[in-house]
Amino acid sequence: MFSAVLSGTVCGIEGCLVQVEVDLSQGLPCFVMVGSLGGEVKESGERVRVALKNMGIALPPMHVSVNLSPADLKKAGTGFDLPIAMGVLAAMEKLPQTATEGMLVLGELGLNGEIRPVKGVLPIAAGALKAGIQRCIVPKENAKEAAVAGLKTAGVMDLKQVIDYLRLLEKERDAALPPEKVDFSQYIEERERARPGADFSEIIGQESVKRAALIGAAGFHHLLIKGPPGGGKTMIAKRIPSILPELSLKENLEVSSIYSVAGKLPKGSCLLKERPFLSPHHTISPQALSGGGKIPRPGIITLAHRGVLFLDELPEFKRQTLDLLRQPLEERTIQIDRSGGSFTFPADLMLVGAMNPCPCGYYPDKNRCRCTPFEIHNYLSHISGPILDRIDICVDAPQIGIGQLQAGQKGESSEAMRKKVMTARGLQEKRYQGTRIRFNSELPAGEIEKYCGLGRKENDMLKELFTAFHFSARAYHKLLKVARTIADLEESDLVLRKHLQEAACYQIKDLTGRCGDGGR
Amino acid sequence: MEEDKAYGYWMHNLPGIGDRTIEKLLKIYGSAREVYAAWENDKGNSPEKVLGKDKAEKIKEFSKNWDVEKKYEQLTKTGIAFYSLEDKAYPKKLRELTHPPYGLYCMGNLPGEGVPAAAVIGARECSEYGRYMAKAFAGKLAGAGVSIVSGMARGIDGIGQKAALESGGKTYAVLGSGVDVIYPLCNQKLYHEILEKGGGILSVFPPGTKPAKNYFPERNRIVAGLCDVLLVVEARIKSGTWITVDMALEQGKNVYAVPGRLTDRLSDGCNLLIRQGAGIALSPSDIMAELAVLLGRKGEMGQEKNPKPSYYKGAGKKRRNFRSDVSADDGAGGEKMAGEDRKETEGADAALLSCLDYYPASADEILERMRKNGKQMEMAVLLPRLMELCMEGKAKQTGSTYFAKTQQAVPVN
Repeated sequence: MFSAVLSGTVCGIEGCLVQVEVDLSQGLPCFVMVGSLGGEVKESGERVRVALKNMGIALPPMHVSVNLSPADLKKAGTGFDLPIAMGVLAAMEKLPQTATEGMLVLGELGLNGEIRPVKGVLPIAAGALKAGIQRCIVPKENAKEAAVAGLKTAGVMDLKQVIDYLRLLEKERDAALPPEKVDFSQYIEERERARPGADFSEIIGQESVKRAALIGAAGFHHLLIKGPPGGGKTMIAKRIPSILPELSLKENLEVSSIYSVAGKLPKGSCLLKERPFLSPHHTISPQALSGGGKIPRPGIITLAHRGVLFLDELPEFKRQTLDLLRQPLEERTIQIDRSGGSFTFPADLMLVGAMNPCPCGYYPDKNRCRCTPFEIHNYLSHISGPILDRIDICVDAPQIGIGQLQAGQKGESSEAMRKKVMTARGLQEKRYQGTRIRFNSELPAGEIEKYCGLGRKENDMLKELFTAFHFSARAYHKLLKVARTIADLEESDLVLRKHLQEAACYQIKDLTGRCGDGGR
Repeated sequence: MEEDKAYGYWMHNLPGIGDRTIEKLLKIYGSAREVYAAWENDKGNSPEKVLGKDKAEKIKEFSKNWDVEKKYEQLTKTGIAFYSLEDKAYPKKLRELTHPPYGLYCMGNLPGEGVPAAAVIGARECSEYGRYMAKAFAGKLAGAGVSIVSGMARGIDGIGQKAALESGGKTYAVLGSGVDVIYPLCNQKLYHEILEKGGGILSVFPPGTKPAKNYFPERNRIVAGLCDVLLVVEARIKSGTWITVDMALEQGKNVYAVPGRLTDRLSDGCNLLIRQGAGIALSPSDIMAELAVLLGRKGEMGQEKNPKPSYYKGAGKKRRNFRSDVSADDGAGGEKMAGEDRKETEGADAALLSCLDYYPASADEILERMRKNGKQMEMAVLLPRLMELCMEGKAKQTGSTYFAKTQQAVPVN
């Protein structure tokens, strides 16, 4: 007897539908599974057999063949347990053939028949919806994910419940197991409640870094913070997501499906509450950062999509690891080609780097720092030029004095800063309507002049600036982009003298250290 | 004469023979030529007896591969002059040392005899303050015709020498390596400029010698030997500068130190020197007065550049005229600087400039200082204004958001 159940797997970060076909035929009793199966999928047969037995359903002494189609697609994950079990039951005629028609089934089985959560439900459900599927059965823990993707979802706890549910007629089902509902207003409420975590008002002093963070957030510019240890670099970086605009629902679904694939969604929730903030340790391997594996899986930079990737102690990262960021920082995606397939993962992130100015960490303070220019140069040359080139804003986080700490002057709150960011973002949205550009930082070189038009006076001033500070041609574009954002923050249509000056202040200057009186 | 030099060059390059042995040999044989001859024709006073058999053998072996005339020709072809103690041109000041070095290599010119010389030395890792002071002192001294002697090291040494060249003066660098080995490499430009502008590169080490730690004390001794006054701009408590200071004191030279803040570790050395009795260098005129007294040639000094140099007004009666000296001279003296500040910074930026220092301060610190002065402002306003000052050359940006005042805010002339 033949039966088919619809299920799915994750390819990269997108869902693909997989047809699970089961056939019972005469022959030596055995359980054969085919169709490019990964290790965990091959083991599925044993789980299904035992789980069914413990439900009181013994497999018949027949030749059981399972095929996962399309057969050339690599299958991974544990979500096939439940659809295989359903297929077997349908083939055994314990369930009506039409019971799972037009329905996506996902779930891992325990030996006692319990149904456990699986990864990647959100993207698979979204893929299924696109293919015209309306309903699904998923583990209870994943039910919200499937529901938020738009499927009519039954969240189930164990095998018995599924069997009972599927034996009902179509119209009786909803009454027996009400479809999962996602309440967006509740989600927003929850988000509001979750807010008071880290706020910019907690940071004392460091006005210049805060200002730089504000500009960075407004134009999605990459940011580099230099400073002695204990100055609050990490504290500031951690608070940057709190001034970025809230994730829109579309963005959130996009990011949440990545997290669903990685199995990193918060428990029992279907959406992220905040923009991602990732701060990998500097010992991270290149593959963990970029994503990889035989069947490519998203790495840290993809998890930081639409959020902040914070690299603390930037020069301590292996050069090879840092250089991986070149393409993603430029194109905002990363392409990974492995034997298991080629995938392009999104990596639209704001890079925030933090570093000490020299090996001992106290550089401009000559009372504490005795590093030689050679040592400083060596330390800084760990970061390659191409990475520095992609960083628009560089700022110093000085040591905070005890006086400042005790005075405890509270700074601007995240809420107020976010309002400014939103205004600047609004202006950018309006300006770049109908183009592929979203932020000032994405302006291609050719179009900078079109959007950052300067008056004659400003052009003259810019010339002066360049001769005074020995800027490179590349710095020219970066400077204009940042100046555009500063102007947006002040809701100024024109880029003015002061905006250019401030932007010039943030340019990376002579990071290679100075020798003798060689530096200015 | 030239031939004698060739023999001197040979003797200076002998393996295992130092200045002391050379002194001994010269006492016995009289001149380098005679020493060379001693190996050729034994006159009963054989070198074996003087040096021992091993050493004498070694030297014989060495001399086989050393064609005295050819080698000397090669040396002069590369533009390096060799002066031995036997030469008349050998600097007098070095000759007066207890143990003058036998040989001195020189590219460019030797310091002029009778021209006052000051050594400007200090820490390699200097602060902005030291950078500024080195420039101010060396620049002004050189402008008045004082030659600046130093070690061309990173930091104060190099900065002082560069400033000397910029103000049109002469400067001489004493290296701890061969004169044709540029060390440190970052002063390559300075090295060539010194030669172009008529200064000199000196060393007691044969050409091609790589710099080594144990060569620097000897280098410092020569620096101390060549100067009339030693000026320490910035030094830590533990510093190579102390070797130079000790040597200078041993040679009876006057040592001056630029005072610094008590909280700055880089000024500790200078402040300690002052406590121990070093002269306090409040302005370049202090040094020039000292030089005038030392050389006793008020009229001659500084004639090359400035027929009526300002510094010698107060020379000899320094103490009596001290107050008027400071006000008449716009040196790096404290009172005058403050005055210049006021004049230079009239207008809107005055308040901001008064919050800047020669020590770099972060933008946050500056903001805080402004606040304390009752001028609250936003970072977004402060940064463009600071950059404006930078463009005018009154301030400079060090690092990303650190700012310091520049000399241009206080002209030094």
